Amino acid sequence: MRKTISKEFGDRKPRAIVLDDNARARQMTGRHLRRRGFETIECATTEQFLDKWLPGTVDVVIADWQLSSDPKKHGDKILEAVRMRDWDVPFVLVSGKLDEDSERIKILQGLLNKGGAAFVQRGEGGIKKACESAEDLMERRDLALLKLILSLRNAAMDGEKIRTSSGEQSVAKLLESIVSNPKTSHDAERPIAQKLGQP
Amino acid sequence: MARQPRSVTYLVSGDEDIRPSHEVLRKTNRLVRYDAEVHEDAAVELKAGHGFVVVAHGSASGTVTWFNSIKNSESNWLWVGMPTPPRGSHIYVYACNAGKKLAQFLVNCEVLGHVDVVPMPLGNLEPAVTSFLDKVDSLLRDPSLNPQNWADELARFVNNSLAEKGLNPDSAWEDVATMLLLRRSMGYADT
Repeated sequence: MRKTISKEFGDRKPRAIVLDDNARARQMTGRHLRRRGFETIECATTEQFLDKWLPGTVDVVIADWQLSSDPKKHGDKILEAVRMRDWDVPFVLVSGKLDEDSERIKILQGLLNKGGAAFVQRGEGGIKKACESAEDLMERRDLALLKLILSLRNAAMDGEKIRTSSGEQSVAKLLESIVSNPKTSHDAERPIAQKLGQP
Repeated sequence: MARQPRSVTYLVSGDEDIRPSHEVLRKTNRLVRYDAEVHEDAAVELKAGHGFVVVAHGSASGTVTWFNSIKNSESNWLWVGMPTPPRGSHIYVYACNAGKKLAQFLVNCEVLGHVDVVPMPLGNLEPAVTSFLDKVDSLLRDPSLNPQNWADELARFVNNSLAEKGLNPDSAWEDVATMLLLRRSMGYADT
C-alpha cells in the first residue's frame, strides 16, 4: 500500500469490500488487497453486500458490474445505493464485457465524471489495476473527514451508543449522518478541514 | 460603566434518562435546580434579567416538557402558543430539536436552542459536554452578547474542538462524537 495512505491509518488497516459472484475473481481480489495491507470483506451477492456494508466503516468498494445472481442490479445501481448513504467512499467497478456494450461504456463514463469512482476492465492485470484505482481514489479523499471517520469507526462497529435527551443514538447512525450528507460534511470545494478552520 | 455579569442557573428535568445530569452539573459548581425544585410555571421560574440553561426533553414543534417525579407526571413547560410566556430572561435550551420554533415564539426573551439531538453530560461524554456548557455559561453571563453572538461563538467553539479532537488520532471517540452531535444540532451554522 502507498505510504500516503498507510500513514493516515496508523496501526489500523484500511477496509475494503469486494462484491463479485465469481468466487475465483473475488478471492483473488481479496488476496491481492490483503497483500497490499487491506482488511477485506468478501461478498458474493448484493444481499450479502448490503448486510455487511456499514457507511463509514469501509474505505473502498470493489464491485463487479454484472452479478448473475441479481441480473437487474448492475454495478451502477449498487453505486447509486452506496452513494445514497456514503457520499464519497471510493468505488471501483469491474467490467469484463466493456467492448460489447456501448450503453455500458456511456454509463461508466458518467460514473467517472461524477468522481469518487473508477472502472477497470477485467483481463490481464485487471485485479492489480482495480487495486491501484482503489488507492488512487483513496489518496484523493478529504483527509480531515477520513480522520473523523476513523475516530468513530471502531465505536460504530462495536455497536456503541450515546445518550442524548431523546434517548440513545447509535454511533453507527451518527457516522452515517456524516458520510451521507455532502452539504454538511464535505465536498470537493469545501472540504471539512476548511469548515473547521484548518488550513 | 460595564454591566454586571448575569447569574446562570441550570434547570434540569427529572426524567429518568436525563438523570443524573443534575448531579454532574452540581459537581462542576453550577447552580442547579432539578425536577420538582423547578416551578411548574416556566414564566415564574424564568425570571427577567437572569440567565438559564434548560436541560429537558424537547421536540421539533418547539415544546419542552418537564418531568416532576413527586407528581410522577410529564407536562409541557415551554411551548409555542403558551398563554403566559416568560419575559426578559436569557435562555439556552439544551434540549433536542425545540430550539428553532421556541426561539421564534419567545420574542420577549433572548433564546437559543438546538435543532437536533443533544448529548447528555454523562459517562464518557461528560468532559466534552461540560466543556461546551462552560462556553454556554460564559456567553450567557455576558450581558453585551445576544443569541446570534452566542450561536456564532458556539459554532466556532465546536468547530475548533472538533478540529482539535477529531484530527488527533489519540482522542477519545466520545469527544469526537459529542462535538459532531453538537455541530449537527446547531444546524451546521458554518454551512
